[in-house]
Amino acid sequence: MSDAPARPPSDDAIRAMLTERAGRLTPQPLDVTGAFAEALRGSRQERRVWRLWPALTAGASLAALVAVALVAVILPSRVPTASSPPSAGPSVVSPASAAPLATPVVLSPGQLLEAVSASADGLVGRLVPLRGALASVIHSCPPRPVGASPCNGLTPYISDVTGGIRVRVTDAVIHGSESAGSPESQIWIVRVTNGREADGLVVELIGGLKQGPDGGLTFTVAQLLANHDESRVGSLVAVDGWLVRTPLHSCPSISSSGARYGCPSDVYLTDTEFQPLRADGSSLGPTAGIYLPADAYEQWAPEPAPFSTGGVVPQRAVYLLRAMPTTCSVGTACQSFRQAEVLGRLDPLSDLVASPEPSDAQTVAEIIAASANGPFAFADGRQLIVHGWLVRTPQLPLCRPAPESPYGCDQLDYVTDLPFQPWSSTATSVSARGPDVGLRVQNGAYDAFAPDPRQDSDGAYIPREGTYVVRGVIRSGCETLPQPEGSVAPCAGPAVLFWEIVERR
Amino acid sequence: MDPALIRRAQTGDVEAFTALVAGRVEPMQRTAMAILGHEADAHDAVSQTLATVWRELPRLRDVAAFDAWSTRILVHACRRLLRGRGRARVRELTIDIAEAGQAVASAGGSTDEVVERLALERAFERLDPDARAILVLHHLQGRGLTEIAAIFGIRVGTAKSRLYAARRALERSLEREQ
Repeated sequence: MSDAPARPPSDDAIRAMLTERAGRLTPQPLDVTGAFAEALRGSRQERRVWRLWPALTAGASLAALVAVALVAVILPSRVPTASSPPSAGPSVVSPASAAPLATPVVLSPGQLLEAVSASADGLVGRLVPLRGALASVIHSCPPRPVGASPCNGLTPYISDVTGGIRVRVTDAVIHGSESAGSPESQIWIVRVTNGREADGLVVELIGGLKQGPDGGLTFTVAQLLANHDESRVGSLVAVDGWLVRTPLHSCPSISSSGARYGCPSDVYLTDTEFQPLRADGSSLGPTAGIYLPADAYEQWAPEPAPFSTGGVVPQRAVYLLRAMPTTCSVGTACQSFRQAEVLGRLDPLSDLVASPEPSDAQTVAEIIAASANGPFAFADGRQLIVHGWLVRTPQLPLCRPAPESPYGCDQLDYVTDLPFQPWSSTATSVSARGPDVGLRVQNGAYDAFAPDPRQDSDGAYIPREGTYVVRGVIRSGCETLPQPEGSVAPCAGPAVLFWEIVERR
Repeated sequence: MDPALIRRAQTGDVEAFTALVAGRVEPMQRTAMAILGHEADAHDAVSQTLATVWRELPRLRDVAAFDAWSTRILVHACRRLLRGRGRARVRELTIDIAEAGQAVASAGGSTDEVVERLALERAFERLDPDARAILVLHHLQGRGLTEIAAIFGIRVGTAKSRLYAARRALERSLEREQ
């Protein structure tokens, strides 16, 4: 702080500051999962989004594969049938990369809440990638019955701007996973439960997911085998691969703890559709694969199916793996593979993530009537559709707005049932007024959402009719009032229901 | 800008769309970073922008306005994220001037310059999204008033007025740092 008089910033100073600010960003490939999830919210264009997805994933050079990707989305993956004869030797049927799998979408907390709400209990037990920041809020511990789980006064949750979900952290599960407790946004894997507490849904936190080398959700087997850092014991990774199993074979006499891998069969995750069963009934492992527990195929293959005599049909999916210490059971040749355990599958949730339609369009008057019970009636984040006219005043420089308030008095934006003009001017004066029946929406809403925002020759903004998605927000009533000179603190006042336009339909 | 490419993208040609946006992603990320000051948010803003551009592109009648139109969508995305951030984040991160100054000074600049730059950035952080956006478009991207007016869908005179108001807001905000 200094007592020197304020010096207006020069253009050069502003440019230098902005240049440095922008330069702190590390350019990254497009966050395809985020873009896809966002695009899915516009369900009308879902087919168009599906077409975009593979290209964004692969980049411009792979755009030609879009047609292949489309076929992959529409048609089931090609697998050998039970009637096919086993090949003469270990065979590589097709590279996994040639037909992109419909990968799961990373959800925001808000999207997951919507999906769970829309699916009733249909998501219970599913593993879901969730992007958000893990944090804890401190609360008081209520009296608990004897035998209840202990209360440490912390409620962990994953949140972002779309909302927050309470999580249950199981130490045994999250052990070894990095970034637990990170305040930064990242991708977490959670298991949907049917648990509810007073403040809503509770999910089980499996751990923080290591993202693929290209910033995507999944790894290939080859990428994991080439990257020791990502394969550290305890790391959680999602692998798009083929789950294969050899026929059952005899087990050596070993301790039960060592029999988890390789007995009574060898199970691998591979990058290629690999059939280890040979025509003579023997089997051979893949040249590159991740070694999994012997029961992994039966437990996690999407559709376990027998193949010829003793074999199984390879099954492709996105499997959630946790890297395990590489210890081999006696008599198995696992030294060349890294070991992992399968925690589950990340199946696409595309049938479930489309945001439920908020409601049928309502009038402003209907919404106001419904909110007559108090400002908190619509403060639960629900979205409403309103059809009306959006308008704003010009800037009102004589009114000093509340700091940082999107509802400051230097501009007024409204949605009304009928065309309304809040601003009038004469040769000697200008004035602004609010409508008798209207929703006060955030400053800037007109410019952001009105179709063809425009001023007339007198400077008044032309009301624009449209269908808007709005949600209620609770603010301090004093934010709309002129603020005294020098005021910097947020003003305190009664809770008032304002509205935020989030989308135009 | 290749109008034919845009028209192809409008018909759902993914390859054309990819080519259209390929060179824009990084500039968009830097613009969003300058407005938002938060890397993850900047990437989110660009992701949302590209998704919206893809969805809404068929409705763009004037292909010559693609740049202004897509920039407007980016600004809207930044605005939404900033509004949301204001709602959702209850903790305020304070910048340790001494530490940050050391860090920036190590990259060049006197201590006074560093402190002034940090003060200016804190002042910028207090601006509303529209003011931030117009300052970024003008001072970082070097866009003139005509371009800014096209991006915001306003008259040139209004753009001039808004740019002036944003500068004044920045000055007032900076006074709080003195």
